[in-house]
Amino acid sequence: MTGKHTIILTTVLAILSMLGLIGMLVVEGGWDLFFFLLTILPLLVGVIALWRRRGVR
Amino acid sequence: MSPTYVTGTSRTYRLNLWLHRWCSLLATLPFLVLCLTGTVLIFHEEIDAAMGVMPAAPGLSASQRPLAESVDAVLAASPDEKVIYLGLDAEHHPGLLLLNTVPHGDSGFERAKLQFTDLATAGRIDASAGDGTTLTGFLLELHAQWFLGPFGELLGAFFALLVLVSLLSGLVVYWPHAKKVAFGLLRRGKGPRLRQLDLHNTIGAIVLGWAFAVSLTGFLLGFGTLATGLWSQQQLARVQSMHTGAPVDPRRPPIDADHALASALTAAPTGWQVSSILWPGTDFSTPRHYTVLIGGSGLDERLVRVVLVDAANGEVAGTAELPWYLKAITLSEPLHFGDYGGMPLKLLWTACTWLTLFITINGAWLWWDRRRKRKVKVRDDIKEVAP
Repeated sequence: MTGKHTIILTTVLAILSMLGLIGMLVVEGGWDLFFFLLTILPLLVGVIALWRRRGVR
Repeated sequence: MSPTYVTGTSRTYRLNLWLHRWCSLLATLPFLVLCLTGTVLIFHEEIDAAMGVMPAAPGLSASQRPLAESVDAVLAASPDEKVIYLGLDAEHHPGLLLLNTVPHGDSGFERAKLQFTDLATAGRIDASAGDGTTLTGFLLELHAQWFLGPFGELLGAFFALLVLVSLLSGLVVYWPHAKKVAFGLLRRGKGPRLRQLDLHNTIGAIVLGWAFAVSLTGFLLGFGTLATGLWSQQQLARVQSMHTGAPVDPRRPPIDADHALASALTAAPTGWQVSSILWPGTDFSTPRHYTVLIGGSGLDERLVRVVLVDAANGEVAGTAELPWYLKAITLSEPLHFGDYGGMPLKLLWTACTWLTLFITINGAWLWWDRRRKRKVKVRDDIKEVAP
């Protein structure tokens, strides 16, 4: 994945991460885990991307 | 997006590259300090507890002594001082009453001493936080004010603005790179520069959302003192003009804290609690009124409302919501320090802080390395041309 898709992915992940941060603060109760997962989504996607391309030169 | 934009040579690209480079370089050293102090401050509750700064919370008890007895106990122990603030925090300090005392003539919090009492017994509890010199307090002053007071806060806002510009311009600068290199690819065998560049871009993309949220909230927090001062001046001036009357003795107001608390609750929505009481004669009250802060649960716990209680007769003189700018600043605090989601969020905050610090430093290295190579090239060119 290169170009426009990467920029869109980066921007969408950043927005989702911020929504997760705000969601954890604003919403009470059982939604905490969902919003926490949203928050760490960019980290998870980044780690997966690094792992999948670890051998590529 | 125009085709010329993505070639990496357009004016927009060059402007963003310039902004990204210089905003980042200017912010590198302050950002290093902010990240190091910020990492410690994320765990301020655990550190304070381990160092005995805050007394162990006795826990909520079925029976509770009147607040006035706690106030009396503190005043008896500090005869040259007066109480100006009382705080209740059942979530973080159950069973504990937090009181600020200052010398008689003071109306601000600059020389405030923090004291504690047990709500169940109204007895004083000793803790090292009282003298105001704690490790986390010291680091917070450095992190938030650079030891420069309100001016330092504005300086912090400026640094946060630099980081914000750097993040946004970084996204634009990332575009040509993203066209050539797949997301998450670290090119190997092509030299340390390309490897560091790939790391810079990949980690930057990963922490973009977090870094943007923390920088934006840091920027807003930089205006905290200014905004609070503005609000207290505007709001209090209005209240003072509406409610005239003789000032009360700020050390011993006719109406005690329990009466003020009960009066404030009559003006509060059902289920709301009092979180703080400010005594008459402070910078945030009038010479005649208690300023009582009330909050609900969830978001309402942070977006407190203000109730003014007449300290002469216990009547509610008025209630007010925080203005929008103070609401924004109030909500910025947890979003900046990440202390509202337990240990998992604190660990995430730490990881993102260090990743952001890494790309700041490796970005500075990329700039220095490019500069160094250019200088070497120029020197070689001169040698070739020279007879």
